[in-house]
Amino acid sequence: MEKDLVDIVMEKEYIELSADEKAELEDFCSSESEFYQLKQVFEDVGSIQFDLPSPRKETKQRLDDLFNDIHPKAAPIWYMSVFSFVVPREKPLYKQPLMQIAAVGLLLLLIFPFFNNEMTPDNTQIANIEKVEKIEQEIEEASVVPPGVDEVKVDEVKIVEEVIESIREESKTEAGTREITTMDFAFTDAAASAEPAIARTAAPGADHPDGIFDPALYGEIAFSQPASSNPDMLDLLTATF
Amino acid sequence: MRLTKPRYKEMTDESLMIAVSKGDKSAFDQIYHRYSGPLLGYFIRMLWKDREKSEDFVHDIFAKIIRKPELFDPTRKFKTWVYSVANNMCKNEYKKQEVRKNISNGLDSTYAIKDTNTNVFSEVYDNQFRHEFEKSLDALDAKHSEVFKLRHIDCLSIKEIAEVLEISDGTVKSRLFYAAKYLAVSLEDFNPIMNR
Repeated sequence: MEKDLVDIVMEKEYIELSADEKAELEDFCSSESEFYQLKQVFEDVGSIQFDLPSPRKETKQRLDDLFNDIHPKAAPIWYMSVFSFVVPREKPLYKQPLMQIAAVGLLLLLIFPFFNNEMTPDNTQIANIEKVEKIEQEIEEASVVPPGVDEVKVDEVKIVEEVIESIREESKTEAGTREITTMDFAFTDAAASAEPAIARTAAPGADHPDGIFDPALYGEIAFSQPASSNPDMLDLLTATF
Repeated sequence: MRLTKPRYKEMTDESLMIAVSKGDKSAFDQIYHRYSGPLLGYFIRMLWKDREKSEDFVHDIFAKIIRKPELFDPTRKFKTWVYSVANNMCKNEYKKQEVRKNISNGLDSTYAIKDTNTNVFSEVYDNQFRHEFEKSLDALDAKHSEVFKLRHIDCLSIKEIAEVLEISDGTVKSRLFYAAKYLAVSLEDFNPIMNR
């Protein structure tokens, strides 16, 4: 309700009235005592709370029937019937079926990755396995003695290794002491004869720790290659699991 | 096309009436909820405390809203419009009856006056004050008491009362303050505020 002269009388004291308000009230209260008399009446009546009556339910029912007769509900279009089911206007937002379906879908989308994380070899692992097999194949090919290589020299190296191993075993017993001495000379002779073979296998001036074999002697295929020149080998040797 | 339910409780009376004219039942329910009680009280006061007749008048006025919502001009205030219609209905009833019953001031026993003051002594004073107040209103001239009730019971402003009764603002003021002065004199010996 917009404020009027009665509200001014009820809210203000006589000295607080503006000139316009006093002029407006002049017809009704010419003095301060009359002003406060009116103020008292308005306040007393304002303090009374009137309990409003309510019409009977039958009155409302008759009006509802009349409203339905005057404004019949229109026949719903098929998609409106679907829409009215998934988004019913009378229900709050969180109880509407469309919102509930969307919430369940969002929940499934969020938890799906946790259930999809299985220990099965994927394409990356298969590719690594294939790489390892390829490298092993290359090693085998590299370990094959190429044609033209002096197999005698290779055998001599093997003989030397066997001699060394036997010396180690016999050195453990006192009875083998003398034989060791004898064998030492044999070892020395064998080692001396094997040295040229070993020396011949290394390229002159080669200082690579793996040993660089001269491809000119053994063709393009080398006995071994340094790991740094073979990226796959390097990956295999430096792989961490 | 709305995806959420309109908040009818927050809509103005004028917006609700526009929705009613388009066949919105919920808007009509809100209008009925806001004005059925005050209008029933108004008719009870104006129609000699006749509850049955007042109920019928409430039904008739809302039936008029349902049948011809276009009668309401949205540029006007709905409250003044509906009270104007109610006032005209009462005038027509007076003409039919050709008798104005002035037995009581219209404050029916069903129109309870509620007081939340729990103090026993002040309750006694309040009861006495109410009795004197009703008696004084009853003795007051109808045109002055009508204006006074519309202002202090139905809570219409002076401008709204003028619009409802189709009289000027000055006339409303003069009737209102005349009624207040009359009551001030009648209740001068009994002053609940001063004696509390």
